[in-house]
Amino acid sequence: MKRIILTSLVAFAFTATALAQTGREIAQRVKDRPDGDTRQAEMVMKLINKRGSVRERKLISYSIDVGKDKKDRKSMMFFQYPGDVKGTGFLTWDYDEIGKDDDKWLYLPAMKKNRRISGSSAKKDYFMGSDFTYDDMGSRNVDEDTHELLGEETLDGLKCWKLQSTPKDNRDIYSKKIAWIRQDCLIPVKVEYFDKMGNLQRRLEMSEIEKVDGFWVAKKMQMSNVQTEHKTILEFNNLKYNQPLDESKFNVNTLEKGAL
Amino acid sequence: MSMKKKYKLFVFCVLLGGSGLLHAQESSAWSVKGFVDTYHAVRSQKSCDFMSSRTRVRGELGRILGKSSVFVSLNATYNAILKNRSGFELREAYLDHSEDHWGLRLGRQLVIWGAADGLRITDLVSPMDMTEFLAQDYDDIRMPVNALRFFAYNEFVRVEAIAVPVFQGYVLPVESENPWCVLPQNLPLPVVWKPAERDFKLADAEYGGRVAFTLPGIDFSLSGLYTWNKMPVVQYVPSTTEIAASPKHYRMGFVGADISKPLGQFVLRGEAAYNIDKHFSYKPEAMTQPQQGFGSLNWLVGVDWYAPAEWMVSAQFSTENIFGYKDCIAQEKNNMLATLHVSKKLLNSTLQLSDFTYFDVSNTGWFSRFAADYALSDQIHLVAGYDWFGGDKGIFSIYKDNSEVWVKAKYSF
Repeated sequence: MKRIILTSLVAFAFTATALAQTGREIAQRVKDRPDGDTRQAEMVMKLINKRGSVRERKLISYSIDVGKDKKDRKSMMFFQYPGDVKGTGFLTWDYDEIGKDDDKWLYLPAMKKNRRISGSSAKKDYFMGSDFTYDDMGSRNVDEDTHELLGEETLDGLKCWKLQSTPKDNRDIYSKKIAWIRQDCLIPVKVEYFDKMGNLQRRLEMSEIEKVDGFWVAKKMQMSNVQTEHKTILEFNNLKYNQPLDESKFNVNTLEKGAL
Repeated sequence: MSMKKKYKLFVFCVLLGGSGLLHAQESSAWSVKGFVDTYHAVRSQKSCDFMSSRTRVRGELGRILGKSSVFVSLNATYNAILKNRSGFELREAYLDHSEDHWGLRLGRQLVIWGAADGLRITDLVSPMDMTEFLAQDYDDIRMPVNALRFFAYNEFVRVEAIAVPVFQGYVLPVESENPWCVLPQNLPLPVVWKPAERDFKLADAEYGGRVAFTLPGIDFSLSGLYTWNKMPVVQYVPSTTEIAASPKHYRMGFVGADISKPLGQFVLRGEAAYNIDKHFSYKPEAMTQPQQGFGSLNWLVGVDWYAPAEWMVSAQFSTENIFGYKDCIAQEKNNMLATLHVSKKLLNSTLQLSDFTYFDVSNTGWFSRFAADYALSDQIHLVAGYDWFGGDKGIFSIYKDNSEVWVKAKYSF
């Protein structure tokens, strides 16, 4: 009897460990999902408040994978609309290494000046009045969170992993997030973010998932803040992958010019 | 309307309208943007008179053709208080060309150097328009210059050489009807502003350069400029009928450096310049003494805190130390100035509350500008604010009766 109990305990412990590893592995597979070495897109961002009033932002974004094993990323974003922010640009050198702050610059056309901004705090702030944080829009090292595979579920007839990720840094604005990740294309079709009190705060839904230039991509993302009833819809158009981009152009001179 | 004004109006309309047409056809790379804004300020003390009432159209046209581009920016302003400030103004007009590792920008343009905000340490190329002192947006205070700039760069370094053929000084408020007038008031004789006629010689050109490094974890630059002190030294010469205020500009130079270093949620900034042969205004009782140049060290330290929940706090401290100081100089030997900027965004960034305060440490005076900026729509911003002046000595005390409430509306297109 003792032997059966011991064997059961060992088996349970082994299974739990295997599930924990699987959670991290899935998170790593999602992060490593092929998306080319370069990418560019036109983005339309619609900010919708609870009364249904819509504000719109249009941007052009470029990014290139750089560094050892191409784990770092340089990206630029230029605002095209509305007029008061047209020409505003962000340049980010995003490092995969945990604890290494990103390098980030902002160009404001009214001031005609490039400005070095903090690379760490902004990641946890909301991006230009939207419901997405800078972190949501960038890449994040898998080991910044603890991952737990909660099981499998079927959404819209497609098998998904249900993965819970808990930030190790308590300065993150959410206490945990639960993602439903499509097993066929490794895209999280739904992500729920919980606040520090453990209440659901935001829900991300990805749709119009298709292959572009041979890479799976969600062309529409909707982030809803269920507490404030504000939501942001992000649509990607004219997506291009693996187009030749010059890494050396991802600098403040280009940021000032307003175009790559 | 004079022929000259009609011609300016014609050019303005052709540029705006014509370019808009090209833009509408979508076959051209012309881009048009700009804004209409209207600003009104009322003194909050005593007479409650209007300090400012102006409406402006800003048109900005740009076109990119391969590696070359052109940019034109124009203002059409109606100023109800200062009538001579109404009219059309060519703000910027330059051509730009960029190759892979070099470029040039030629024409009337804004030149911004350094890491300071609202203070000038190495940022001495573009002069300032002080018509309404500091009680307007800083990008309206900075004036474009006719400059020839050449750049050489790679991913991390940018070398800049600049020449400004014809020097341009500060625009100062000297009209008696201007509430920001810097000339002494209530004297027995009228004070008359009498700028001297100037020759424009090649030897008077400004020139210099800057090397800026943009590296992982740090930005810094070194700069030098042979320039003019754009703030004139004013001498008052009385006669039987008037007191003539004669502004005179003197040559000076500087070598300087600046640095920006992010550190977690903070960005630390520093900037310093050693000014060579800089002239200062003298005290009234020392007006007859001959002018001479001094060396001075002007430096600044600052920190920006990009705090959570869309708070932003920025503080700066700067001082100018004059070497070989003489008692006849109107400015203190060590002139200290601090700034504090606090802003907070609310309602999904549609409302921004902010305050920018200058504090004259040497004389215990201040100017604090509070603003509440609400985005009514993607195009329209409604802004209201209060400018608070205080102190008994120094530059801000001159305006201690000029505290004002203001409103502004801006439509961007």
